[in-house]
Amino acid sequence: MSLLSLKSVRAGYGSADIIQGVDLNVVPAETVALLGPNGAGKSTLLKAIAGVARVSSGSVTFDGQSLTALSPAERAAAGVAFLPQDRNVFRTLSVAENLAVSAWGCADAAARIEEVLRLLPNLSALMRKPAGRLSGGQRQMVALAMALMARPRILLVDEPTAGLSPRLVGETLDLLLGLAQAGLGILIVEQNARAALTRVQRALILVDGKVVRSGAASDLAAEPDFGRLFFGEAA
Amino acid sequence: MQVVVNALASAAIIAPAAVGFTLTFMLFRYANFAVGAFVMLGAFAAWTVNVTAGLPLWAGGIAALAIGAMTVALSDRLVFRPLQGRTGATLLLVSVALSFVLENVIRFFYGSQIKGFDLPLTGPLMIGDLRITREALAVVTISGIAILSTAALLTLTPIGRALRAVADNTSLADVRGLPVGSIQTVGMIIAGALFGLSGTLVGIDLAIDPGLSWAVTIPIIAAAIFGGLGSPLGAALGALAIGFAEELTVMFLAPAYKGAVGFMVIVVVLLLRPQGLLGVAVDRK
Ligand SMILES: Nc1ncnc2c1ncn2[C@@H]1O[C@H](COP(=O)(O)OP(=O)(O)OP(=O)(O)O)[C@@H](O)[C@H]1O
Ligand SMILES: [Mg+2]
Repeated sequence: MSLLSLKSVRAGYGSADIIQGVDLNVVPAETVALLGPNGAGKSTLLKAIAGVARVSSGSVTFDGQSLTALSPAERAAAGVAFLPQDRNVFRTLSVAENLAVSAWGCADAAARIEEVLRLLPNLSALMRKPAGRLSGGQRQMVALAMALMARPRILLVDEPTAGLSPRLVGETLDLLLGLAQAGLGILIVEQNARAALTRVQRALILVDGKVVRSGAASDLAAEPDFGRLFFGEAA
Repeated sequence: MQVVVNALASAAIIAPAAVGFTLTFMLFRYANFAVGAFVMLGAFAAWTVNVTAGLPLWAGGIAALAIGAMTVALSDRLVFRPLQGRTGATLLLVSVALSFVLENVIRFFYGSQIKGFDLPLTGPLMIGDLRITREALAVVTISGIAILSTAALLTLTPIGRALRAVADNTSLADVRGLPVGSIQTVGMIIAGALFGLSGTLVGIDLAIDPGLSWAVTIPIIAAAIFGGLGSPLGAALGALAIGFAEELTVMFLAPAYKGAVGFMVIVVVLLLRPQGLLGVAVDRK
Protein backbone atom coordinates (compact mmCIF):
# COMPACT_ATOMS: atom_id res chain seq x y z
CA MET A 1 0.00 0.00 0.00
CA SER A 2 1.40 3.36 -1.10
CA LEU A 3 2.13 5.95 1.56
CA LEU A 4 2.48 8.79 -0.92
CA SER A 5 1.01 8.61 -4.39
CA LEU A 6 1.11 11.19 -7.19
CA LYS A 7 -0.89 10.74 -10.37
CA SER A 8 -0.43 12.97 -13.46
CA VAL A 9 0.55 15.90 -11.30
CA ARG A 10 1.03 19.26 -12.96
CA ALA A 11 2.30 21.97 -10.64
CA GLY A 12 4.08 25.30 -10.58
CA TYR A 13 3.83 28.94 -9.58
CA GLY A 14 1.37 31.54 -10.79
CA SER A 15 -0.10 30.38 -14.08
CA ALA A 16 2.96 28.46 -15.35
CA ASP A 17 3.27 24.72 -14.79
CA ILE A 18 6.83 23.63 -14.05
CA ILE A 19 5.89 20.00 -13.32
CA GLN A 20 4.25 18.51 -16.40
CA GLY A 21 2.50 15.30 -15.40
CA VAL A 22 4.43 13.28 -12.83
CA ASP A 23 3.51 9.89 -11.36
CA LEU A 24 5.25 8.81 -8.21
CA ASN A 25 4.80 6.35 -5.35
CA VAL A 26 6.58 5.93 -2.06
CA VAL A 27 5.76 3.07 0.31
CA PRO A 28 6.60 2.99 4.05
CA ALA A 29 10.31 2.48 4.83
CA GLU A 30 11.21 3.14 1.21
CA THR A 31 13.98 5.53 0.15
CA VAL A 32 13.53 7.24 -3.21
CA ALA A 33 15.91 9.72 -4.83
CA LEU A 34 14.71 12.47 -7.14
CA LEU A 35 17.57 13.43 -9.46
CA GLY A 36 17.94 15.78 -12.36
CA PRO A 37 19.66 18.88 -13.69
CA ASN A 38 19.32 22.38 -12.25
CA GLY A 39 15.94 23.89 -12.95
CA ALA A 40 14.34 20.53 -13.73
CA GLY A 41 11.62 21.16 -11.15
CA LYS A 42 12.80 18.88 -8.32
CA SER A 43 12.22 21.47 -5.62
CA THR A 44 8.93 22.45 -7.19
CA LEU A 45 7.72 18.85 -7.03
CA LEU A 46 8.57 18.57 -3.31
CA LYS A 47 6.92 21.94 -2.69
CA ALA A 48 3.80 20.78 -4.51
CA ILE A 49 3.57 17.75 -2.23
CA ALA A 50 4.16 19.93 0.84
CA GLY A 51 1.50 22.44 -0.25
CA VAL A 52 3.88 25.32 -0.88
CA ALA A 53 3.64 25.25 -4.68
CA ARG A 54 0.32 25.15 -6.52
CA VAL A 55 -0.93 21.84 -7.98
CA SER A 56 -3.01 22.63 -11.08
CA SER A 57 -4.14 19.11 -11.94
CA GLY A 58 -3.64 15.48 -11.03
CA SER A 59 -3.88 13.95 -7.58
CA VAL A 60 -1.63 13.89 -4.54
CA THR A 61 -2.72 11.36 -1.95
CA PHE A 62 -1.13 10.46 1.35
CA ASP A 63 -2.24 7.28 3.09
CA GLY A 64 -5.22 7.14 0.73
CA GLN A 65 -6.38 10.69 1.51
CA SER A 66 -6.19 13.56 -0.93
CA LEU A 67 -3.81 16.29 0.20
CA THR A 68 -4.70 18.89 -2.39
CA ALA A 69 -7.18 20.84 -0.27
CA LEU A 70 -4.91 20.94 2.80
CA SER A 71 -2.65 23.82 3.87
CA PRO A 72 1.07 23.18 4.45
CA ALA A 73 0.45 23.15 8.21
CA GLU A 74 -2.37 20.61 7.83
CA ARG A 75 -0.17 18.39 5.68
CA ALA A 76 2.54 18.60 8.35
CA ALA A 77 0.00 17.52 10.95
CA ALA A 78 -1.07 14.63 8.71
CA GLY A 79 2.50 13.30 8.69
CA VAL A 80 4.19 14.92 5.70
CA ALA A 81 7.46 16.62 6.70
CA PHE A 82 9.15 18.90 4.18
CA LEU A 83 12.74 20.08 4.59
CA PRO A 84 13.23 23.03 2.27
CA GLN A 85 16.45 23.51 0.32
CA ASP A 86 17.35 26.78 2.04
CA ARG A 87 16.07 28.99 4.84
CA ASN A 88 15.07 25.79 6.64
CA VAL A 89 15.72 26.96 10.21
CA PHE A 90 14.48 30.01 12.13
CA ARG A 91 17.76 31.90 12.18
CA THR A 92 16.92 34.33 14.99
CA LEU A 93 15.77 31.55 17.35
CA SER A 94 18.09 29.31 19.34
CA VAL A 95 18.36 25.65 18.40
CA ALA A 96 16.27 24.72 21.46
CA GLU A 97 13.61 27.23 20.41
CA ASN A 98 13.65 25.92 16.85
CA LEU A 99 12.89 22.44 18.15
CA ALA A 100 10.28 23.60 20.65
CA VAL A 101 8.41 25.73 18.14
CA SER A 102 8.34 22.83 15.69
CA ALA A 103 6.40 20.83 18.29
CA TRP A 104 3.67 23.48 18.39
CA GLY A 105 0.46 22.09 19.83
CA CYS A 106 2.09 18.82 20.97
CA ALA A 107 1.41 18.12 24.63
CA ASP A 108 4.55 15.96 24.81
CA ALA A 109 7.00 18.46 23.30
CA ALA A 110 9.69 17.76 25.90
CA ALA A 111 9.56 14.02 25.24
CA ARG A 112 9.77 14.62 21.51
CA ILE A 113 12.83 16.83 21.92
CA GLU A 114 14.52 14.10 23.97
CA GLU A 115 13.62 11.52 21.36
CA VAL A 116 15.13 13.62 18.57
CA LEU A 117 18.25 14.35 20.61
CA ARG A 118 18.79 10.61 21.09
CA LEU A 119 18.77 10.31 17.31
CA LEU A 120 21.00 13.38 16.77
CA PRO A 121 23.09 13.57 19.96
CA ASN A 122 25.45 16.20 18.53
CA LEU A 123 22.67 18.77 18.80
CA SER A 124 22.67 18.66 22.61
CA ALA A 125 25.76 20.86 22.77
CA LEU A 126 24.24 23.44 20.41
CA MET A 127 20.87 23.98 22.05
CA ARG A 128 21.53 27.56 23.19
CA LYS A 129 23.13 28.72 19.97
CA PRO A 130 21.18 30.95 17.56
CA ALA A 131 20.43 28.83 14.51
CA GLY A 132 21.70 31.61 12.27
CA ARG A 133 25.22 31.04 13.57
CA LEU A 134 25.49 27.29 12.89
CA SER A 135 27.75 25.73 10.29
CA GLY A 136 26.12 24.28 7.19
CA GLY A 137 26.21 20.72 8.49
CA GLN A 138 24.86 21.71 11.90
CA ARG A 139 22.09 23.70 10.30
CA GLN A 140 20.98 20.69 8.24
CA MET A 141 20.89 18.57 11.40
CA VAL A 142 18.72 21.17 13.15
CA ALA A 143 16.42 21.36 10.14
CA LEU A 144 16.10 17.58 10.16
CA ALA A 145 15.45 17.53 13.90
CA MET A 146 12.72 20.16 13.43
CA ALA A 147 11.06 18.07 10.75
CA LEU A 148 11.18 14.99 12.98
CA MET A 149 9.46 16.81 15.87
CA ALA A 150 6.13 16.20 14.14
CA ARG A 151 6.80 12.41 14.09
CA PRO A 152 6.21 12.34 10.34
CA ARG A 153 5.56 9.29 8.22
CA ILE A 154 7.15 10.67 5.10
CA LEU A 155 10.14 12.96 4.78
CA LEU A 156 10.59 15.19 1.72
CA VAL A 157 14.19 16.39 1.78
CA ASP A 158 15.59 18.96 -0.64
CA GLU A 159 19.38 18.84 -1.12
CA PRO A 160 20.42 18.20 2.48
CA THR A 161 24.10 17.98 1.53
CA ALA A 162 24.41 21.23 -0.43
CA GLY A 163 27.61 22.97 0.57
CA LEU A 164 28.89 20.15 2.79
CA SER A 165 32.37 18.61 2.59
CA PRO A 166 32.58 15.25 0.75
CA ARG A 167 33.04 13.40 4.05
CA LEU A 168 29.96 15.04 5.55
CA VAL A 169 27.91 14.27 2.43
CA GLY A 170 28.22 10.54 3.04
CA GLU A 171 27.62 10.83 6.77
CA THR A 172 24.57 13.04 6.33
CA LEU A 173 23.00 10.75 3.73
CA ASP A 174 23.66 7.67 5.85
CA LEU A 175 22.06 9.24 8.88
CA LEU A 176 19.08 10.59 6.97
CA LEU A 177 18.34 7.48 4.95
CA GLY A 178 18.89 5.31 8.03
CA LEU A 179 15.67 6.80 9.40
CA ALA A 180 13.72 4.72 6.89
CA GLN A 181 14.47 1.61 8.94
CA ALA A 182 11.91 2.78 11.45
CA GLY A 183 9.25 2.82 8.73
CA LEU A 184 9.63 6.38 7.49
CA GLY A 185 9.23 6.89 3.74
CA ILE A 186 11.89 9.21 2.32
CA LEU A 187 11.87 11.18 -0.92
CA ILE A 188 15.19 12.96 -1.32
CA VAL A 189 16.44 15.46 -3.88
CA GLU A 190 20.21 15.18 -4.15
CA GLN A 191 22.85 16.79 -6.34
CA ASN A 192 25.41 14.12 -5.50
CA ALA A 193 23.70 11.58 -7.70
CA ARG A 194 26.30 8.84 -7.27
CA ALA A 195 26.33 9.19 -3.48
CA ALA A 196 22.55 9.02 -3.44
CA LEU A 197 22.22 6.06 -5.82
CA THR A 198 24.48 3.88 -3.68
CA ARG A 199 22.22 4.47 -0.67
CA VAL A 200 18.59 4.63 -1.86
CA GLN A 201 16.36 1.86 -3.15
CA ARG A 202 14.76 3.62 -6.10
CA ALA A 203 15.34 6.76 -8.12
CA LEU A 204 13.55 8.98 -10.61
CA ILE A 205 15.25 11.31 -13.03
CA LEU A 206 13.36 14.52 -13.69
CA VAL A 207 14.14 16.69 -16.72
CA ASP A 208 12.06 19.73 -17.70
CA GLY A 209 9.28 18.76 -15.32
CA LYS A 210 8.90 15.19 -16.61
CA VAL A 211 10.17 11.88 -15.30
CA VAL A 212 12.49 10.60 -18.05
CA ARG A 213 13.70 7.48 -16.28
CA SER A 214 12.91 5.63 -13.09
CA GLY A 215 13.78 2.32 -11.52
CA ALA A 216 15.94 0.52 -8.98
CA ALA A 217 18.87 2.68 -7.91
CA SER A 218 21.40 -0.01 -8.80
CA ASP A 219 19.99 -0.33 -12.35
CA LEU A 220 20.09 3.42 -12.92
CA ALA A 221 23.63 3.69 -11.58
CA ALA A 222 24.70 0.95 -14.00
CA GLU A 223 23.22 2.60 -17.09
CA PRO A 224 25.91 3.59 -19.55
CA ASP A 225 24.26 6.90 -20.43
CA PHE A 226 23.53 7.74 -16.80
CA GLY A 227 25.71 10.85 -16.85
CA ARG A 228 24.04 12.09 -20.01
CA LEU A 229 20.59 11.56 -18.51
CA PHE A 230 21.53 13.15 -15.28
CA PHE A 231 22.92 16.24 -16.90
CA GLY A 232 19.77 16.51 -18.95
CA GLU A 233 21.16 16.29 -22.45
CA ALA A 234 18.64 13.62 -23.31
CA ALA A 235 14.93 13.79 -22.66
CA MET B 1 18.86 66.52 35.18
CA GLN B 2 15.40 67.92 34.53
CA VAL B 3 15.93 67.16 30.87
CA VAL B 4 16.51 63.49 31.77
CA VAL B 5 13.24 63.35 33.65
CA ASN B 6 11.34 65.03 30.81
CA ALA B 7 12.96 62.84 28.17
CA LEU B 8 12.15 59.69 30.12
CA ALA B 9 8.54 60.75 30.44
CA SER B 10 8.06 61.48 26.76
CA ALA B 11 9.92 58.30 25.81
CA ALA B 12 7.69 56.29 28.12
CA ILE B 13 4.59 57.58 26.28
CA ILE B 14 5.64 56.54 22.78
CA ALA B 15 7.65 53.42 23.69
CA PRO B 16 4.73 50.93 23.92
CA ALA B 17 3.39 52.09 20.55
CA ALA B 18 6.87 51.89 19.01
CA VAL B 19 7.12 48.30 20.26
CA GLY B 20 3.69 47.53 18.77
CA PHE B 21 4.65 49.15 15.47
CA THR B 22 7.84 47.04 15.38
CA LEU B 23 5.88 43.88 16.11
CA THR B 24 3.55 44.65 13.19
CA PHE B 25 6.50 45.28 10.92
CA MET B 26 8.23 42.07 12.00
CA LEU B 27 5.15 39.99 11.28
CA PHE B 28 3.97 41.56 8.04
CA ARG B 29 6.83 43.72 6.70
CA TYR B 30 4.82 46.87 6.27
CA ALA B 31 4.89 50.21 8.09
CA ASN B 32 1.49 50.79 9.65
CA PHE B 33 1.09 54.57 9.59
CA ALA B 34 -2.27 54.23 11.32
CA VAL B 35 -0.34 53.71 14.55
CA GLY B 36 -1.04 57.30 15.64
CA ALA B 37 -4.74 56.91 14.93
CA PHE B 38 -4.88 53.76 17.06
CA VAL B 39 -3.11 55.63 19.87
CA MET B 40 -5.61 58.50 19.53
CA LEU B 41 -8.46 55.99 19.59
CA GLY B 42 -7.04 54.55 22.81
CA ALA B 43 -6.90 58.02 24.33
CA PHE B 44 -10.59 58.59 23.49
CA ALA B 45 -11.58 55.19 24.85
CA ALA B 46 -9.81 55.95 28.12
CA TRP B 47 -11.36 59.44 28.20
CA THR B 48 -14.87 58.06 27.64
CA VAL B 49 -14.58 55.63 30.54
CA ASN B 50 -12.78 58.13 32.76
CA VAL B 51 -14.79 61.31 32.09
CA THR B 52 -18.12 60.31 30.51
CA ALA B 53 -18.61 57.26 32.71
CA GLY B 54 -16.80 58.78 35.66
CA LEU B 55 -14.66 55.74 36.44
CA PRO B 56 -11.04 55.85 37.60
CA LEU B 57 -8.36 56.24 34.95
CA TRP B 58 -7.02 52.70 35.37
CA ALA B 59 -10.41 51.44 34.16
CA GLY B 60 -10.08 53.82 31.22
CA GLY B 61 -6.66 52.38 30.52
CA ILE B 62 -8.04 48.86 30.40
CA ALA B 63 -10.76 50.02 28.01
CA ALA B 64 -8.06 51.62 25.84
CA LEU B 65 -6.10 48.35 25.70
CA ALA B 66 -9.25 46.46 24.73
CA ILE B 67 -10.35 48.99 22.09
CA GLY B 68 -6.82 49.17 20.69
CA ALA B 69 -6.53 45.39 20.49
CA MET B 70 -9.97 45.09 18.91
CA THR B 71 -9.60 47.77 16.24
CA VAL B 72 -6.12 46.63 15.27
CA ALA B 73 -7.17 42.97 15.03
CA LEU B 74 -10.27 43.98 13.03
CA SER B 75 -8.35 46.24 10.64
CA ASP B 76 -5.85 43.45 10.19
CA ARG B 77 -8.61 40.96 9.29
CA LEU B 78 -10.73 43.28 7.15
CA VAL B 79 -8.12 45.49 5.50
CA PHE B 80 -4.52 44.34 5.68
CA ARG B 81 -4.81 40.53 5.56
CA PRO B 82 -6.85 40.53 2.34
CA LEU B 83 -4.12 42.70 0.79
CA GLN B 84 -1.31 40.38 1.86
CA GLY B 85 1.23 39.91 -0.89
CA ARG B 86 0.94 43.52 -2.08
CA THR B 87 4.02 45.70 -1.77
CA GLY B 88 4.93 47.40 1.49
CA ALA B 89 4.28 50.75 -0.21
CA THR B 90 0.67 49.77 -1.01
CA LEU B 91 0.01 48.69 2.56
CA LEU B 92 1.62 51.87 3.85
CA LEU B 93 -0.72 54.01 1.74
CA VAL B 94 -3.69 51.95 2.88
CA SER B 95 -2.66 52.51 6.50
CA VAL B 96 -2.50 56.28 5.89
CA ALA B 97 -6.02 56.14 4.46
CA LEU B 98 -7.22 54.07 7.42
CA SER B 99 -5.74 56.63 9.74
CA PHE B 100 -7.83 59.42 8.13
CA VAL B 101 -10.95 57.27 8.39
CA LEU B 102 -10.39 56.60 12.09
CA GLU B 103 -9.60 60.25 12.77
CA ASN B 104 -12.82 61.38 11.11
CA VAL B 105 -14.93 58.76 12.83
CA ILE B 106 -13.67 60.14 16.14
CA ARG B 107 -14.30 63.74 14.99
CA PHE B 108 -17.85 62.76 14.06
CA PHE B 109 -18.67 61.29 17.45
CA TYR B 110 -16.61 63.48 19.74
CA GLY B 111 -16.18 66.77 17.87
CA SER B 112 -12.88 68.54 17.64
CA GLN B 113 -12.88 70.04 21.10
CA ILE B 114 -9.83 69.44 23.26
CA LYS B 115 -10.39 67.03 26.15
CA GLY B 116 -8.49 65.94 29.21
CA PHE B 117 -8.65 63.15 31.75
CA ASP B 118 -10.26 63.69 35.10
CA LEU B 119 -7.19 63.46 37.29
CA PRO B 120 -6.86 64.53 40.92
CA LEU B 121 -4.57 67.54 41.27
CA THR B 122 -1.38 66.63 43.06
CA GLY B 123 1.80 68.58 43.61
CA PRO B 124 5.01 67.38 42.05
CA LEU B 125 7.67 65.51 44.01
CA MET B 126 10.75 67.63 44.53
CA ILE B 127 14.13 65.95 44.82
CA GLY B 128 16.49 68.86 45.28
CA ASP B 129 15.79 71.06 42.26
CA LEU B 130 14.34 68.15 40.33
CA ARG B 131 10.66 68.40 39.65
CA ILE B 132 8.95 65.04 39.07
CA THR B 133 5.20 65.00 38.66
CA ARG B 134 3.37 62.01 40.05
CA GLU B 135 1.84 61.54 36.61
CA ALA B 136 5.26 61.30 34.98
CA LEU B 137 6.33 58.79 37.58
CA ALA B 138 3.24 56.68 36.90
CA VAL B 139 3.69 56.95 33.13
CA VAL B 140 7.31 55.80 33.28
CA THR B 141 6.54 52.94 35.66
CA ILE B 142 3.56 51.62 33.69
CA SER B 143 5.37 51.93 30.38
CA GLY B 144 8.41 50.14 31.79
CA ILE B 145 6.30 47.30 33.13
CA ALA B 146 4.46 46.99 29.80
CA ILE B 147 7.68 46.82 27.81
CA LEU B 148 9.33 44.32 30.12
CA SER B 149 6.20 42.15 30.05
CA THR B 150 6.11 42.25 26.27
CA ALA B 151 9.80 41.31 26.11
CA ALA B 152 9.23 38.46 28.58
CA LEU B 153 6.22 37.27 26.61
CA LEU B 154 8.23 37.21 23.38
CA THR B 155 11.28 35.47 24.80
CA LEU B 156 9.92 33.14 27.48
CA THR B 157 6.50 31.89 26.40
CA PRO B 158 5.49 29.41 23.67
CA ILE B 159 3.29 31.98 21.93
CA GLY B 160 6.15 34.51 22.01
CA ARG B 161 8.48 31.93 20.50
CA ALA B 162 5.91 31.19 17.81
CA LEU B 163 5.52 34.91 17.08
CA ARG B 164 9.27 35.25 16.59
CA ALA B 165 9.33 32.16 14.39
CA VAL B 166 6.53 33.51 12.16
CA ALA B 167 8.30 36.89 12.00
CA ASP B 168 11.57 35.16 11.09
CA ASN B 169 10.22 32.96 8.29
CA THR B 170 6.49 32.75 7.63
CA SER B 171 6.67 30.05 4.99
CA LEU B 172 8.85 27.78 7.15
CA ALA B 173 6.48 28.32 10.09
CA ASP B 174 3.65 27.11 7.87
CA VAL B 175 5.62 24.08 6.72
CA ARG B 176 6.54 23.22 10.33
CA GLY B 177 2.85 23.12 11.20
CA LEU B 178 2.36 26.39 13.06
CA PRO B 179 -1.08 28.01 12.73
CA VAL B 180 0.44 31.11 11.15
CA GLY B 181 -2.77 33.12 10.72
CA SER B 182 -3.86 32.75 14.35
CA ILE B 183 -0.36 33.52 15.62
CA GLN B 184 -0.32 36.70 13.53
CA THR B 185 -3.70 37.67 14.98
CA VAL B 186 -2.32 37.24 18.50
CA GLY B 187 0.56 39.50 17.49
CA MET B 188 -1.87 42.14 16.25
CA ILE B 189 -3.88 41.95 19.49
CA ILE B 190 -0.69 42.56 21.48
CA ALA B 191 0.32 45.43 19.19
CA GLY B 192 -3.17 46.95 19.49
CA ALA B 193 -3.11 46.75 23.27
CA LEU B 194 0.28 48.49 23.25
CA PHE B 195 -1.16 51.26 21.02
CA GLY B 196 -4.08 51.61 23.46
CA LEU B 197 -1.66 51.87 26.37
CA SER B 198 0.30 54.63 24.65
CA GLY B 199 -3.04 56.35 24.05
CA THR B 200 -3.79 56.37 27.76
CA LEU B 201 -0.30 57.57 28.63
CA VAL B 202 -0.33 60.34 26.04
CA GLY B 203 -3.66 61.56 27.39
CA ILE B 204 -2.10 61.98 30.83
CA ASP B 205 0.54 64.29 29.40
CA LEU B 206 -1.12 66.05 26.48
CA ALA B 207 -4.54 67.33 25.50
CA ILE B 208 -6.76 64.75 23.82
CA ASP B 209 -8.10 65.68 20.40
CA PRO B 210 -8.35 63.93 17.04
CA GLY B 211 -5.28 65.79 15.77
CA LEU B 212 -3.23 63.86 18.32
CA SER B 213 -3.05 61.11 15.75
CA TRP B 214 -0.50 62.81 13.49
CA ALA B 215 1.39 64.45 16.34
CA VAL B 216 2.45 61.07 17.69
CA THR B 217 2.81 59.09 14.45
CA ILE B 218 6.22 60.42 13.43
CA PRO B 219 7.95 60.12 16.83
CA ILE B 220 6.63 56.56 17.21
CA ILE B 221 7.81 55.49 13.78
CA ALA B 222 11.12 57.30 14.26
CA ALA B 223 11.66 55.39 17.51
CA ALA B 224 10.88 52.07 15.82
CA ILE B 225 13.17 52.82 12.88
CA PHE B 226 15.92 53.94 15.24
CA GLY B 227 15.52 50.61 17.02
CA GLY B 228 15.94 48.67 13.81
CA LEU B 229 12.37 47.42 13.16
CA GLY B 230 13.47 43.91 14.09
CA SER B 231 13.62 44.14 17.83
CA PRO B 232 10.97 45.30 20.31
CA LEU B 233 13.70 46.15 22.81
CA GLY B 234 15.38 48.27 20.15
CA ALA B 235 12.11 50.15 19.68
CA ALA B 236 12.03 50.96 23.39
CA LEU B 237 15.62 52.24 23.24
CA GLY B 238 14.67 54.17 20.12
CA ALA B 239 11.89 55.83 22.10
CA LEU B 240 14.46 56.92 24.68
CA ALA B 241 16.65 58.36 21.95
CA ILE B 242 13.73 60.29 20.45
CA GLY B 243 12.71 61.53 23.91
CA PHE B 244 16.19 62.88 24.56
CA ALA B 245 16.54 64.37 21.09
CA GLU B 246 13.21 66.16 21.54
CA GLU B 247 14.04 67.54 24.98
CA LEU B 248 17.48 68.71 23.87
CA THR B 249 15.91 70.42 20.88
CA VAL B 250 13.48 72.22 23.14
CA MET B 251 16.33 73.24 25.43
CA PHE B 252 18.94 74.37 22.91
CA LEU B 253 16.91 75.31 19.84
CA ALA B 254 13.27 76.13 20.23
CA PRO B 255 10.14 74.21 21.25
CA ALA B 256 8.80 74.79 17.74
CA TYR B 257 11.39 72.41 16.31
CA LYS B 258 10.38 69.54 18.57
CA GLY B 259 8.02 68.15 15.98
CA ALA B 260 10.78 67.98 13.37
CA VAL B 261 13.00 65.77 15.49
CA GLY B 262 11.27 62.56 14.45
CA PHE B 263 11.64 63.40 10.77
CA MET B 264 15.30 64.22 11.22
CA VAL B 265 15.96 60.98 13.08
CA ILE B 266 14.22 58.96 10.36
CA VAL B 267 16.28 60.60 7.63
CA VAL B 268 19.59 60.32 9.49
CA VAL B 269 19.06 56.69 10.52
CA LEU B 270 18.01 55.62 7.04
CA LEU B 271 21.07 57.34 5.58
CA LEU B 272 23.68 56.15 8.05
CA ARG B 273 22.50 52.88 9.49
CA PRO B 274 19.48 51.46 7.68
CA GLN B 275 19.41 48.44 9.99
CA GLY B 276 18.85 50.73 12.99
CA LEU B 277 20.41 50.51 16.42
CA LEU B 278 19.93 46.84 17.32
CA GLY B 279 18.38 45.63 14.13
CA VAL B 280 19.75 43.08 11.78
CA ALA B 281 19.34 43.77 8.09
CA VAL B 282 15.79 42.86 7.14
CA ASP B 283 15.65 40.66 4.10
CA ARG B 284 12.88 41.50 1.72
CA LYS B 285 10.63 38.65 0.74
N1 LIG C 1 8.90 30.74 -6.48
C1 LIG C 1 9.01 30.58 -7.82
N2 LIG C 1 8.23 31.32 -8.66
C2 LIG C 1 8.33 31.18 -10.00
N3 LIG C 1 9.15 30.32 -10.61
C3 LIG C 1 9.95 29.55 -9.85
C4 LIG C 1 9.92 29.64 -8.42
N4 LIG C 1 10.81 28.77 -7.92
C5 LIG C 1 11.37 28.16 -8.98
N5 LIG C 1 10.85 28.62 -10.14
C6 LIG C 1 11.19 28.15 -11.49
O1 LIG C 1 10.83 26.81 -11.60
C7 LIG C 1 11.77 26.08 -12.34
C8 LIG C 1 12.19 24.85 -11.59
O2 LIG C 1 12.81 25.26 -10.38
P1 LIG C 1 13.16 24.24 -9.23
O3 LIG C 1 13.68 25.05 -8.10
O4 LIG C 1 12.00 23.38 -8.97
O5 LIG C 1 14.33 23.40 -9.89
P2 LIG C 1 15.30 22.34 -9.22
O6 LIG C 1 15.21 21.12 -10.04
O7 LIG C 1 15.02 22.22 -7.79
O8 LIG C 1 16.72 23.04 -9.47
P3 LIG C 1 18.02 23.08 -8.53
O9 LIG C 1 18.76 21.83 -8.77
O10 LIG C 1 18.75 24.28 -9.03
O11 LIG C 1 17.58 23.25 -7.12
C9 LIG C 1 12.92 27.05 -12.64
O12 LIG C 1 12.79 27.48 -13.98
C10 LIG C 1 12.69 28.17 -11.70
O13 LIG C 1 13.10 29.39 -12.29
MG1 LIG D 1 16.00 22.78 -6.06
